[in-house]
Amino acid sequence: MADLAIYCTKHQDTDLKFTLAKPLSQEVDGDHGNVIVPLVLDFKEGGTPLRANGLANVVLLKNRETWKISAFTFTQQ
Amino acid sequence: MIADWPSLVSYGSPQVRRACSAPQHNLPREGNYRERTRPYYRRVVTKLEGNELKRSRSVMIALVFLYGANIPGAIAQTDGSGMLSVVIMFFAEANAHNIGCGGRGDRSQIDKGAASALFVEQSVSDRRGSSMALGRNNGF
Repeated sequence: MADLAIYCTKHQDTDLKFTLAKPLSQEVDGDHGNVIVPLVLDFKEGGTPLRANGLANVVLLKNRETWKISAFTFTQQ
Repeated sequence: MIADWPSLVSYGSPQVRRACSAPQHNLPREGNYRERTRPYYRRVVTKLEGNELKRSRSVMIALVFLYGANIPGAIAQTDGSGMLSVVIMFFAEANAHNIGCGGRGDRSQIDKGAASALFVEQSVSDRRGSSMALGRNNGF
């Protein structure tokens, strides 16, 4: 998350808003899982409103009975 | 003399066909093999059906236990909802707390709120970011 903040600071990105759509896939293999979900990202870059449509791939790990996020990536379509 | 009823039925012997098709009262007593053996035959068949039924049920239950746990779809249905709720919660928290974009130079929003609990652990960069936000050992 700190890396994302550094990226946002560098590119003067502010006011990020994530809008999720219906997940494309959910896969579980033991205590590992990942969810691919379409994502619309609204943000401002240097004060200019922008919109990015893409996919978020969220990688999760199961710790006992709780799923926790290990990493996520966003790919613009 | 008819010795083996099931085998004769399966082969369709003339004696059995005649015994089955002819009226009962026209047949001689010794030739009415079907009528004489029916109760015994029925009893045996019913018992076998019961055992077979139990056996088939046991096999079916065993198959469900053996293969049911290995169906990826079944696992995804049970565990997938938990994963998805975490993902939804994370992005909701990200929107609510402006996570990852707390403004230029503002790191105070990072690792706060419920979103921090959704992660496995803080990365090296996150720990550095937190310490910077708290003003500890950051060199600034």
